[in-house]
Amino acid sequence: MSTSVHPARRATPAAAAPDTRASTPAERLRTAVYMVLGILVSLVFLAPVAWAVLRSFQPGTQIVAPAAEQSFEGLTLDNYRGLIEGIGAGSYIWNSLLIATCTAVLSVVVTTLAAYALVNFPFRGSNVAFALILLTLMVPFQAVLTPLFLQMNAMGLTDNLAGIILFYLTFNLPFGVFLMRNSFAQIPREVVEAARIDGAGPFKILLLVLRPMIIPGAATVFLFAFLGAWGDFLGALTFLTRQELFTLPVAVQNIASGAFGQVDYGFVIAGAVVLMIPCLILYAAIQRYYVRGLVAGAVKG
Amino acid sequence: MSTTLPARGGDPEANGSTGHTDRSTTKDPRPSRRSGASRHDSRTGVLMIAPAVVLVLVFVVAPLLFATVISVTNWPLVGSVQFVGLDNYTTAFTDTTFWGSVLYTLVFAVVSTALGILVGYALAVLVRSNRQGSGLIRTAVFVPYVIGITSLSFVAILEFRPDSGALDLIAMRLGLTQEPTAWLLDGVTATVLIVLLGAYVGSGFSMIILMSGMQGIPDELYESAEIDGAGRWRQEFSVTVPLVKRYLGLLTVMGFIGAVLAFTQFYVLTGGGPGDDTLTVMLYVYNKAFNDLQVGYATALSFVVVVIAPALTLIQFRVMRDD
Repeated sequence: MSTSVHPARRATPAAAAPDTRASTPAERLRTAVYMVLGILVSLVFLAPVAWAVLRSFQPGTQIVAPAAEQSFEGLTLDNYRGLIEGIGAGSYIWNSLLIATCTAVLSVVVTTLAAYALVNFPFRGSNVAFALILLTLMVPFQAVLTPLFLQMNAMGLTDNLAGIILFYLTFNLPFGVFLMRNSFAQIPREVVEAARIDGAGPFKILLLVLRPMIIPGAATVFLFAFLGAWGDFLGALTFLTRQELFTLPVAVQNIASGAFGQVDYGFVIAGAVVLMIPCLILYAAIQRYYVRGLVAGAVKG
Repeated sequence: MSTTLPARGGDPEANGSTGHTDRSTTKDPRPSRRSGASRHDSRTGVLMIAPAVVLVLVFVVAPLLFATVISVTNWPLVGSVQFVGLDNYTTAFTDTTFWGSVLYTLVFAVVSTALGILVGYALAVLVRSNRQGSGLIRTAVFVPYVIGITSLSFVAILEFRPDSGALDLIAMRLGLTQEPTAWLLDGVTATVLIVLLGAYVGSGFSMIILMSGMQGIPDELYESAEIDGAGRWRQEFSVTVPLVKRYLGLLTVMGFIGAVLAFTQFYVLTGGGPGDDTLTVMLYVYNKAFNDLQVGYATALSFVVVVIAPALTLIQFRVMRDD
């Protein structure tokens, strides 16, 4: 009978009764089919990434050789060496890391303060401030790209790392403030009240009392701000035009389009793999914040 | 009480011209905050929220207002600015390249949104059961989403190349093609490949969202459907689909907005070509502004995006509220 039960039922712990374990042949067959299907699906999604990583170690001449003649013998680090030494990508990687890290740290600070104010220190008009911040959700930066460029240019914020950091920071605000507001709202009011009666000031309460309770939210904000800035292409392409300020994606695009001289696809693929590294590390390290943030940001936002 | 607030730049709404808030009504469930420390509190609150508000005013509200001014000038990136009235808009109206890009973008958005949701739904069905191994599948499917479209577009440049790319290798091995094919030099195949790339990157997201919706459906509904004699498929369409409708709507709107704004994968892979066959709106706006240096005209064009995106977001909020 349990074979005809809808699979979604197993999602809840109650449905996972121990006596329905794979014991009947039919159940065992289903498990086998599920395994095979799962492996196939996983391969479809993982193989291109693994393939790209493998390719990045092929010698440059091999990469562009006719597919049928390619081999994976003589794997080498030459593409990475060329990317760093020949193209000087070290500075582009540094720019990307610096921009992404500063964006992420500032996003955490600014959204935490704003959300703390909204929940614990509301004032006349704080709802309007919240609505204004959420308004940003409705204005993707792409829609105001040209006026934003002229304005930032006039303010000296183009070709300026601080400028692009502020730009990324702003467009992270709605998601971050929303998420942090939920984090603060979940903390029982008595916690804050008790600390105030003990004479603690707002920042002392935030750093000493509330910190452990808002760290999951803050980690999620950090993660998405970092990855958003790290992987952004259009903003970096528009606001950073001096070569020494290029981010890694813009530099890789320049390699691919031949702006740095002859196109070397070995460097392109090595650059693409370098771009994957922080994403994969962060995903592996804090996967639960990832999924949590997505579901919270999308469904409730 | 707001009269003693410091006049922080960028915080005009703190002056309370916008009617009451939860502080000033009697509905406030937090009685201990009403007096004494409250003046100090609101000052603290204003100071803490000020950076966020200033950023939004400077980088979102100001450019929006500025855009209306720019769009009625010729505003070249170099040279002097001239007022041109509605010329940019009348030019836009008859700009067949622009409307071609709008049409292309909409078709691209419809196809890629539909595909992303279909694939995401199938994947969600596969992983929602918390069977042994479903966590691993989820992790695997999510990897391309985590890596993002930028890196994977660079991978695609290489693998879509004629002769040396993996696509050609596979196509020739399977006997689909006999000789090297320049996939990206044909508008249709380039579009198909970019749609597939988008589905590859984005379906992990659809999967997670739909899965979280499906897991929230109470067992009893399936039990009673079963008692009523509903089979597997019937249960899926009569119970699951209606109950995740909200999530499907959400994904539709989000996917559509994302696709309307698509830029990176097109810039990297086709540059809008061959000819203007794969020209998206954002690509056209970008080229007008930064290659042709017609910022005024480009701004007028991007008003289309300014209008479409918020309209869709409003629909998104409506969809969310339906529940």
